[in-house]
Parts: sequence; C-alpha cells; structure tokens
Amino acid sequence: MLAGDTVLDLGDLHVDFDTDDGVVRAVRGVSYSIKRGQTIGVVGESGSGKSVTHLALLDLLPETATISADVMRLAGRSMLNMSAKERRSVRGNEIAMIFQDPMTALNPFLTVGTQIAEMFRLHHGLRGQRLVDATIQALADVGIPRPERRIEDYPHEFSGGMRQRVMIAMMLAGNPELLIADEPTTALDVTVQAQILDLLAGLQRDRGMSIVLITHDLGVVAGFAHRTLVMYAGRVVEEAETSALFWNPQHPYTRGLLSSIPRLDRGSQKLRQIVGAPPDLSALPQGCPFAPRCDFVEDRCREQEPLLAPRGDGHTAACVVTLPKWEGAV
Amino acid sequence: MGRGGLTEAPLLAVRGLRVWFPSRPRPIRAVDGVSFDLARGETLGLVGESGCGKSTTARALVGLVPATDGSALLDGKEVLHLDEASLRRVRRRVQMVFQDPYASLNPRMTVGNIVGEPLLIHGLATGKELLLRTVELMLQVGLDPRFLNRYPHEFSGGQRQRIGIARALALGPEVLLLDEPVSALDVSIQAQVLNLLAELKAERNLAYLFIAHDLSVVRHLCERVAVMYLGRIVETGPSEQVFSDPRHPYTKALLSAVPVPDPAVEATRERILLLGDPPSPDRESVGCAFAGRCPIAIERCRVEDPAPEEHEGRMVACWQP
Ligand SMILES: Nc1ncnc2c1ncn2[C@@H]1O[C@H](COP(=O)(O)OP(=O)(O)OP(=O)(O)O)[C@@H](O)[C@H]1O
Ligand SMILES: Nc1ncnc2c1ncn2[C@@H]1O[C@H](COP(=O)(O)OP(=O)(O)OP(=O)(O)O)[C@@H](O)[C@H]1O
Ligand SMILES: [Mg+2]
Ligand SMILES: [Mg+2]
Repeated sequence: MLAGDTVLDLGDLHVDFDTDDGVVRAVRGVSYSIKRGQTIGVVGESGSGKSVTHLALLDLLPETATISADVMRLAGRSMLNMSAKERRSVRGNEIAMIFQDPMTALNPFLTVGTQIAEMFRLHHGLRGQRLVDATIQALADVGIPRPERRIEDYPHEFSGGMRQRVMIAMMLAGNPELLIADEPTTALDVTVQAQILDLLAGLQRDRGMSIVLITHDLGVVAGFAHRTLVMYAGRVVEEAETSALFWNPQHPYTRGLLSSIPRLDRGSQKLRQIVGAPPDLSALPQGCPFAPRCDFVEDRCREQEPLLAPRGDGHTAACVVTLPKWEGAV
Repeated sequence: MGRGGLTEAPLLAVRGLRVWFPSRPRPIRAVDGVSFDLARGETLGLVGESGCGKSTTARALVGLVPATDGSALLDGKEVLHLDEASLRRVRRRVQMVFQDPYASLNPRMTVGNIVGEPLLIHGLATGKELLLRTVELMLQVGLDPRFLNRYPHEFSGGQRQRIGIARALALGPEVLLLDEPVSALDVSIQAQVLNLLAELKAERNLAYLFIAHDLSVVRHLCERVAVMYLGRIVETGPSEQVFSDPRHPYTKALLSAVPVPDPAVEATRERILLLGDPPSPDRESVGCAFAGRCPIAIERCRVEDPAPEEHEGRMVACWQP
C-alpha cells in the first residue's frame, strides 16, 4: 500500500474524561486506518466511544478530556507534533464532520446562503459574484431545488433532511479528503435517509472522498461501507470488510448484534437477545468487558482483556474463545 | 387472517377519527379520518413518517388529546368524547406505553410505587395486597422485585421500559397502545423488550396497537399493519402481504428505503427514491396527499382524493393500486 493512499492512520488512541464520579475511560486504544475513496462504517452500543474517537481527531472535546495516541496521521502528516495552529489548518482543509442534528451546527440567525458562502470565502477566498455562484452551485450539488431562491432562507425554513444537505454543502466547500458523518440520518425518516445516503455515495464517487459513517443501523452499514468497525466499551472489538463481518462475525458481541435485529426481509421469529447492559466505563471489570453478557464466556475471559488479533484477510477480532461456526443470524 | 374472516366483532373499532389542532392560518390536521379494527389478541402495527399522526391517534384513544370527530367503540361502547369518570373506566381496559423510558417515569417515585400506583388510584389494592400485586407485575416483565425501592435513574433504558410496561399492565388491560416502545433503546436491548412484548401477548391475549417507524420491528411483531401518511391510513392488511407485495406507492417507497442488514441483499436491491419532503399537515386537502411526491401520480390524483378500497384482502387508498 502506498503511503499516499492512506488518508487517516490512527494508532492506540485513548481518551479519558475527568468527572465527579471518577475517570471515564471512553476510548481505550483505538487503532484503524482509512484509504482514499474508502467508506468505513462504525457501529456499536450507545456509549461505546464512536463519537468521542472522532471528536478527538477534530479537537472538539471539552477540556476535561485527556487525549493520547501513538499515531495520528492525516494525509501522510503526523498531527501529534504539530502546533495547535498547524493542526487547525490541516484539519480545516482535510477533515470535515457532520452530525446527527444539523440544527445545532447551523446558526439560526444567518441565512443558509450566508453560512455556505462563509465557507467558500474562508477556504477559497472567493468574493462578489463568484462567491454567490459557488454558493448556489453548492446547494444545487446537494440536491436542493431552486437554490437561487433558497439561499435567502433561514435554517428553520428548511426541513430536517434539507438542513442535513446544507451541512453537507458547507462541509464540501473545503474539499475535504475525509468526511466524518456521525449518525447523519438518525433523526430523519427512512425515505429521507435514503436520499441523504444516496447523496453521500454520489459525492464520494465524484470526488474520491473517504467517509467514516458512524451509525447504530447495521442495515445502513451493509449497504454503504467497504469496511466496518464494531466498538464496545471504548475499544474496537472487530474489524473486517463489511461482507466478511456479516457472513463470518468473529466476536460474540457482533454475533449478538446481528441476531438481535429484526429484518424487514424476514418474517417473525423469536429474537436472540444479548442479556444485561453495557459496563460502566468508570469502573470496568477485569478482563473482557463483554464477558458478563457473553454466551461463550470462559474463565480466562475474566482474567485478561483480549486484544484485536488477525483472523485472515484483514479481518480482526478481540476474542480468545473458539466460537462455533456461524450459521447466520437466527 | 383476512378482514372477511372475522366473525367476532372487533375489540376496538375506530371510525373516521379526526384530531385537528387549532393553528393559524389553518388548523393542523394531525389525524384526518382514520379507521381501523383491532381484534382481541391481535397486534396491529401503525407505521409512517415522522409527524404523520401516529402518536396523536393513540393519544386520542385514551383521551390525552380531544378527538375533533369520529368514533371509537371498545366492545361496542364509545370511548371518545367522554367525561373524566367514564374515561377512567376506559383506562382500565386501554393503556398506553410511551416512547421515552427516560421522560415518562416520575423520577421521584420508587419503581414499586410507579408500578403499583394505578392499582392504588383505582382503589383496587392497598397495603400488603398492593405489595404482592406489584411484585407479581415486576416478575412478569422480568424485573427483579428486590429493586422495588430503587428510583428510575438507577435503571438502564431497557429496564425502564419494562417498568413502564409493568405499570401499564397493572389494571389488567385488554389493549395496549405502544408508542415507539423500543425506539429509544440500543439494538441489543431492543430485542429484550420485543421478546417480552411477544410473551406477554401470548400469556394474556392482549391486543396491541404498536406504533413504530422501524418497519423491520413491525414486521417482526405485528400480524397486521396500517401505513399512515399525513393523517390518513393509506394501506392496511396482513403484514406478510403488505410487506411482500405493497400496493400503495407510498408503502412501496417506504419499504424500499429500509436498509437490510445483509450486504448481499443491499447490493442488489432497487430503491425507490422519493423526491422532496412530506407536505405540511395544515394543507387544505385537495386530491391525494401523496400526489406531490408520488412517482406514478396522474392528473386525477391531484384533484380527487382516493378513498380506501378493498384490494385482495387489504384496504388501499390509491387510484392505481
Ligand atoms: N464530556 C464528557 N464527559 C464525561 N464522559 C463523557 C463525555 N463525553 C462522552 N462521555 C462518555 O464517553 C463514552 C463514549 O461516548 P460516545 O459519545 O463516544 O459514545 P457513542 O458510541 O458515540 O454513543 P451513541 O451511540 O449513544 O452516540 C460514554 O460513556 C459517554 O458517557
Ligand atoms: N398538541 C399539539 N398541537 C399542535 N400540533 C400538534 C400537537 N401534537 C401534535 N401536533 C402535530 O400533529 C402532527 C402529528 O403529530 P404526531 O406526534 O401524531 O406524529 P407522529 O406520527 O407520532 O410522529 P413521530 O414519528 O415523529 O412521533 C405533527 O405535525 C405535529 O406537529
Ligand atoms: Mg455518538
Ligand atoms: Mg410519535
């Protein structure tokens, strides 16, 4: 693999939060990389560290967070030894992030056009008519009808799906190498979700962008991501090519997830359920954090936390138990 | 189970339910002529996009919002437009479970008090009897009765939803209106609650109106399904039929938009991408509400509103089903 082929390289990222109840170990050694033009899906339980991992990349965490990593390279440049200013400029140009609720990221008092234009001014120094044209084109690119009229509107005059398009238009103004989309469609209806995913897939094709798609919906991952990471209690517990992950899941949590979701293309049968609840990150048990909920748990699981180990073909999983052959979900 | 095959009168028969909210310049027609039957022991799924009127339909049936028009007969007796005393009697038989297990439980009450309160309010049990029945209810939903004196914030989302369900079961209802009971839960916890609902139904012959926006969940749990769009039901029928062979173009688009957790299926599936967003619910009704986004709309759809008609065992409101 060529070095220039890797957009993001992350090694042993840790994030701790100082809280009144002690130290919350939100991210505990996450490593992964993304190649140019690739889409990575990130799934996992609520609170497993999906957002915090990526907020750390963008320096968007509060001061109570302590971040450390061995490797943090963006487009071939290490961000670890950079000054804060250098980091900001690299980030501004190379990574962009969109969130579940675009309303919180948009300014309610400025027109949509003004907010998009600001991005083009910032990144490309455009002014005058060229700035107006670029703004209108950006709205058109994300599929907003009559963009020349809509630039005058305020965010509240847009529907949820349209606001998400506006966010995407703003982020694309900087021509980022990497787009991190944190549950971009969770607040949207399925038909609108399909529109947005279709838009992202199209943009990726046209611009060769890399995308990290954080979601709790395994269906979205199945249709959209080349590779998928599964997170549990602040760690990546499994990573594989998406089809391999679905056909041959190697971690009991991944198996549990796949068997506990009802499927639209199947009738009703009793769902397998994962018993219990995820652990408290400020008081993690010894050993594997999934052990208390695991169907395959052995004594040694409670002694030492397993590390990600290769399973062939770039598939990795953090489990020491020899699992029975996977017969498919249910 | 086709509609024609029902010899027994339905447990709950809703006809022409309208709930309009006053608003300027035009009222919001949140529910605009909804009719359906719910048989004893049956689960009817109510699906549709955000804002189409699912919650309002359920809330009207338990008197949480006033119905503007229409009727709902429970065993032949009207449950809409009632005074407070009659409403109370209805509530013993029809109970609602809410979406958000975090917001819908009183944070200052212990779990035991939350679950037992309806029995106390309705004067059905006190003292030791109340305690016993509360413990029994907790056991039924898989909550450890030792947690009786704990407060809601000490429980996980799935456990809180069990508390809500135990409370709803306290009065021995025949109908549960479940408003997105698993939407706020993690996938791994969602299955626990869905399995519990299926077990309770089998044990108690409960009828569920199961509101959800997750169609996979509905297909899993419901014998019949009603698809709502902008205050109306556009298609109703047995789940198997509706899911495998949808007739209304909105149902088709909705089903095609649901992602399936299987890369092989996803790679070959055809999507019907709808243009635009749902129209606003204060629109004046001229023509079919879906016409503006419908891929097969014809002139007639824009001027004449289709009434639901029987099509191979289901009701479809479309000029070209
Ligand atoms: N500012 C903070 N202070 C303390 N703890 C935090 C803070 N932000 C996040 N956490 C904790 O870090 C853990 C990881 O959170 P994160 O938001 O990354 O989860 P997630 O996987 O994105 O979950 P979800 O699916 O719910 O979005 C959680 O346990 C969360 O409570
Ligand atoms: N008390 C109210 N006053 C005014 N409008 C209301 C009121 N309650 C609901 N509405 C409106 O009625 C319409 C239907 O709302 P409802 O909550 O029934 O939708 P829903 O189908 O349950 O949506 P969701 O899937 O988002 O829960 C919406 O446009 C909503 O804004
Ligand atoms: Mg998150
Ligand atoms: Mg609702």
